Amino acid sequence: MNERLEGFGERVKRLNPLWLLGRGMQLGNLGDYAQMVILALFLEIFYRELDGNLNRRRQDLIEIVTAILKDMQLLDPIEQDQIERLVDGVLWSGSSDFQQPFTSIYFNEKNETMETHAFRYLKEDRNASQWEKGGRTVYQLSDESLEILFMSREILQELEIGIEQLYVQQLIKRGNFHKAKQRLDDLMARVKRLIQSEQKYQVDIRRNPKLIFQQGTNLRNNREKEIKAQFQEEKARFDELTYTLNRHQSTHTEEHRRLFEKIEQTRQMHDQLAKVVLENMALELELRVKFPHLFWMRSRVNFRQQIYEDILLKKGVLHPDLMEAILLPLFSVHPDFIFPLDWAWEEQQSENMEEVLEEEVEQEVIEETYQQRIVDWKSIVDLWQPIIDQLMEDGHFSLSDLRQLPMEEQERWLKQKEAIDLWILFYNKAITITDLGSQLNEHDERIIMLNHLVERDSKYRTLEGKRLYTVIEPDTEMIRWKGLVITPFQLILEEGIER
Amino acid sequence: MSYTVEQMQQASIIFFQLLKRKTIELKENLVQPYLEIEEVRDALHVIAAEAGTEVLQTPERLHLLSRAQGSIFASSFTQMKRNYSQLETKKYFYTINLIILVFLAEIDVEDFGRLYWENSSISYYQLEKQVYTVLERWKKEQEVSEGWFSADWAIAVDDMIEVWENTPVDEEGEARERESKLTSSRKTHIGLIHTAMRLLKDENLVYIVEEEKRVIPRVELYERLEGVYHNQTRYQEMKNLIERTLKQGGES
Repeated sequence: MNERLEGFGERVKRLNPLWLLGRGMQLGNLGDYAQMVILALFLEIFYRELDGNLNRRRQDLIEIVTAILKDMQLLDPIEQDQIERLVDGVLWSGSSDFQQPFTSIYFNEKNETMETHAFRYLKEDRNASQWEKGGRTVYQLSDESLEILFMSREILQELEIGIEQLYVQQLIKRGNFHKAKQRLDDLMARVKRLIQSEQKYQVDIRRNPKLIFQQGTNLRNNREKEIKAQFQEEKARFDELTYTLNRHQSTHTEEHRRLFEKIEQTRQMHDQLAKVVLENMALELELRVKFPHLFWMRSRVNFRQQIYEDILLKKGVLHPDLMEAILLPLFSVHPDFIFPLDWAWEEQQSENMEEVLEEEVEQEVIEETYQQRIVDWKSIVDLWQPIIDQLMEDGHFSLSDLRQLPMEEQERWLKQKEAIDLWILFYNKAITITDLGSQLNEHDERIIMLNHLVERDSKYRTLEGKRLYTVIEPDTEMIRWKGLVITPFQLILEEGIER
Repeated sequence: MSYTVEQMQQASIIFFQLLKRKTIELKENLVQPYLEIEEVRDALHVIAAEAGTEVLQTPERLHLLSRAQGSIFASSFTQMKRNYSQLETKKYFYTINLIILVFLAEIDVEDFGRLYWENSSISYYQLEKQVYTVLERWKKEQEVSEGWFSADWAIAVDDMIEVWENTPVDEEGEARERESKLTSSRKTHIGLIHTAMRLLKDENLVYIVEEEKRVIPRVELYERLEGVYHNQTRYQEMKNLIERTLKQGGES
């Protein structure tokens, strides 16, 4: 290998993100300025990260770019969708629908082959995004984009904390507080990254202790002494910085004070880093002692290769229902109770029979109910609406509340067999209300009824995701109306199970 | 192996709590006997097996999962299946199954790529494209050599292709322009994908960012992938199950 090419691969990998910046985007008259604007965007995100400002979602990025264009006097002829395309072009390579990272090639001088390298400019800030609360993605700079920022300030590739501190000290001595502050900002950003990466490492090795060995065997325990010494040195340097600063001016200007604070901040962050690194070293040791067996088990089976590629893609399975066999073990189980329909019918019918013999009027009513073929959803929903209303308010509704219903009301119920059936249906099985408004559950009458309600008033949409089940009220008598005896059901509404 | 009454009791407590809560963290008190006493572990596995379930232990928690052959209990999956019990709707069910399989393959990365598994989120459109790719491939296989697939599978593949080709990718025009909430529906590819992803979300295995139409796997999904599919023994079981000759058609 040509010795001039030593480390060539790494050089190119560092430069590729810079070369690809802003390329390949259809931006019209914005195209000439794209790279500058993106650089300014990176800077803004850099400082927002330092400040702990979480406004780094896609919409925020669009606003930032708009502000930048305004500052650069470029905003006037630019359209909104050009700005959006710019932002999407920084987030993803190609169409934003596919959310693909950028790829580039570099020559690996060690293997003497061309290799590809994938990267992003902005990546998801997992801690800030709060996906479990349904939040949108918050972005942060990747190592590649951070490198671009550093590159443009001629900072050394290997940013050793010690060297940084010396630089800052020099700057303070010369009275260049402004630059000193800037360098400390950079240092803090770097330290923050290191802390994040240590924290991530901790989470990863807890979940998968094997990783301790896979990390290119950078067994830190061997270097424990070294590392501890290094931290001590760096801590001492921070003291020196403060000392130098205080020696510089006896009058304390505002800038002086701010720089002092900045040094303190950086020192604290550095302490945090030291703490986390040492914690991790101790954790590594602990895990190796606790889970020795995990370190020698290597599974050579995975879903993608063995099941998906070797079986499904090639010849498929013998019968489509077998897909279920592959998928089922992914799911947890829960008990499912089916209330025998006969029990409920039995109670209703015995009374019905007696009533038939008694009064003609009732007989008419019952026959009418019996002959009804067309489902009168409007009346059913009229009957159920107050029940659902109360259910939403109180979280429960007892049928026994309707015990003393006036005669006309009872007759309205008896006219709608389906309205009564709904009580049985609700009892048979609990339901987690999903897909309100879609056609998916067209043969589940409970959902049909709820859908009708939603059509009447969109407030019922809040039922989405909730769980509805029915119990029988204990120590309560059967409800007896004319022509109907029914169990004292109680409907209960609760939040869907979320973990 | 014989168990004391107390050990049976401890195993039962864990089983019924798992049944109720689906997953339990290892650090909880009631799990300690499982971790410390071999008999309790065995008893629990016996009980679970009888119910057609499997107890999965991961670095952080216990899961109670259905067996491939099915369980006496229901699961979100079997409940979802009930929505497609008619003959005409079976094809949608199969398509949804396929979507999930494609999704799992996409996110199942190599072992030591695992450090970066957190970055593997996937967009609905990416999934859509992958499903299309698979179906195209199968379509070609069928055209090239008849009888490549088994009779039942061939019919199902045709059905799934029919579903895919006869529905649009997404809602038309305005409905798509607005960053509207995703809905589960059979009318579009995105709708079907959302049904599949919703199922996983309800099972607490993924996050869905609706405005971005993106799915992000959670650690519980990786734990289950690892425990169910990366395990040599269980893989063999599953392989045997799906490759043996099925004489009974229809419901298994």
